[in-house]
Amino acid sequence: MFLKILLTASFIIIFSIDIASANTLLYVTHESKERVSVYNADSEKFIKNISIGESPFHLAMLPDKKLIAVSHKGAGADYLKIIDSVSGKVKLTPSIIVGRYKKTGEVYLTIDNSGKKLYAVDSNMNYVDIIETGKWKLIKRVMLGIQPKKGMLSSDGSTLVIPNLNSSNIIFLDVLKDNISRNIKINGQPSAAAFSHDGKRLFILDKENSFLLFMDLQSGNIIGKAVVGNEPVNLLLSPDGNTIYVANYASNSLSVINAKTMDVITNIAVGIQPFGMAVDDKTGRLYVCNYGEASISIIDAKTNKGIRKIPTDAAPTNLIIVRE
Amino acid sequence: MNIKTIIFLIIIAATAPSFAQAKGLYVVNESGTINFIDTLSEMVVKEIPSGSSSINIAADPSNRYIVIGNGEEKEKVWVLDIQNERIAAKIPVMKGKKAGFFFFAFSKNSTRLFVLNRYSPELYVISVDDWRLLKTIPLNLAPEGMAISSDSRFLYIINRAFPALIIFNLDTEKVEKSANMEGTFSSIVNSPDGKVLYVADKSASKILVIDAATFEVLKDIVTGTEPVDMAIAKDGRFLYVSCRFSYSLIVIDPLEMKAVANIPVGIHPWGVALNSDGTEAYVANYNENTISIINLKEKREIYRLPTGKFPTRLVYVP
Repeated sequence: MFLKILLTASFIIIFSIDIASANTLLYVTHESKERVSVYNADSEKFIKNISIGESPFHLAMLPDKKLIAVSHKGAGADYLKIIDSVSGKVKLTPSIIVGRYKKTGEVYLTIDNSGKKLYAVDSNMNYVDIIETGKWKLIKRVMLGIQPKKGMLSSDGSTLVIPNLNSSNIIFLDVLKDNISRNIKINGQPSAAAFSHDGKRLFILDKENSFLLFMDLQSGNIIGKAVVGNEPVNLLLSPDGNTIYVANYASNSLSVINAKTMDVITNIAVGIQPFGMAVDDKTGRLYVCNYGEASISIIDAKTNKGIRKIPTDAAPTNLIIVRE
Repeated sequence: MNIKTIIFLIIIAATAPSFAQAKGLYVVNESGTINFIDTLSEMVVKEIPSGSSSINIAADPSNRYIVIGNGEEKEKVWVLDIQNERIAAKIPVMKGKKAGFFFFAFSKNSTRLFVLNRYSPELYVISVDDWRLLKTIPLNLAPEGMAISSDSRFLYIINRAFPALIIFNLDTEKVEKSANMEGTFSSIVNSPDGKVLYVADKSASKILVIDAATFEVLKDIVTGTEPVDMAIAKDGRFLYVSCRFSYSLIVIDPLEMKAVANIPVGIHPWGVALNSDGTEAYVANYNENTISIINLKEKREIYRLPTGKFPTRLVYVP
């Protein structure tokens, strides 16, 4: 009898550990609040808040999945917080930057494939700070165009592409040497850019003219364009690289585009002012921050249909998926 | 300022509106008025009563009259004499108080007006000569839109239930052809050559390109969220689609059968109209009480003008 109970109990323990380890969490920045909120992606329930400081904006996770960098408005040198995902608390505040003025917290974070370097593109200061993640010290600052947006790495991790909204150029940064290897002018306002998986094409959003542009990287020519909605601000590639999701900030919708044929597959209505997006490659679920309505839309990326919305705190900006 | 100048100014002020009467845009507001907009000076010139809950508006092909449908008056179709700026007739169609969600089609020779209402199963045939209701034909449909063939022999009607698409023969007064199609349809137009029908599916955010003879769906084109109204250029070269929940006007190239531009407009756009040379498009922004004036060459909005409350649809009179 006793053995039976013990066996059952141990089963329960093993089982519950198993459940706990399978938790998928969403870390969400709220620009109007001073915190990152954590939600359980499966139960869609709120778990906890992590205090960050003024206007948290963007997040990036290190490859070891233990540390998460968060940008925020901050004051002077203080614009970056490092969260320990195990304890769920801010572990350190790297004090990196001299000569940074307090503007908005619109700093986009990208971590290189080795996890050794963090690229922090400051959209107001028009530069990228390259930070060593071990010591959290500044390695180099590279001046960019006007209003640079999120940097995206090529699949091989060799190049970081940065669109510059108000100077209409795309800057390519050699990640090995950390210098600008290429600079291409385009027509319009590039608000986001990403490499195709094979590295032959660049997908560029033109916010001004509502287009997703397809650039052939060998020639630098625009070889096609797909019409999207009002003010496209963010794009995301599906894990297989075949589908592009575009967040149309002023149309409250996503455009879904075939990355190879350049055809628009469908239009998905989401909440007000969609911005940050993340896709869970295990479940095929796409999460979209609806900045203007305090919610996250969940979309089934297989059927391209909205599933439901999770209510959140005000002004959700960006999110990442973290597996516990 | 002496008396002479004052008199001069008064004369100018008194005569100015009649100068502007030649051509322009008529916008119907659900609150029960029409705005006349002079598209040369880009000014709202006049507001005329149109009856409560007025939603649709159309001009006859000879451009002498405008018809407006309202929902709550006893006589629900009003006729505006454009030249004389007065209501020339009020026609009693459809019983009871409903929304003035009418659909109008004129025969190309301007002798007949065909009228449907979203909440009526009947087709009303009106004589344009004396604005008399000639006939009420029971169709047993819940119509969502109507287009007329270029020879004026057929009406293309989209329906809220099955069959979803109907060709009604106006000579035999019988349904010529019908098809069941999945979707929530909001608008139909036909190509100037009569070969193709464009049907907006608002729930799928798509325009169906349909062969008018076989009803075969040739292609579906993705638009913004909830396409609600369409206008096609006279030469059929471009199709313009207003998208209610993405606040945009989508430009479709019928040759390429795809969207070629997205033009941001105001809040909850509804009716779309084009000027006679196809250089400008006009969009009624329902929840903003404005219209957007769009330069089609540059493919961008150039002005926004205030209207009455809840502008729904509009028509350009050359």
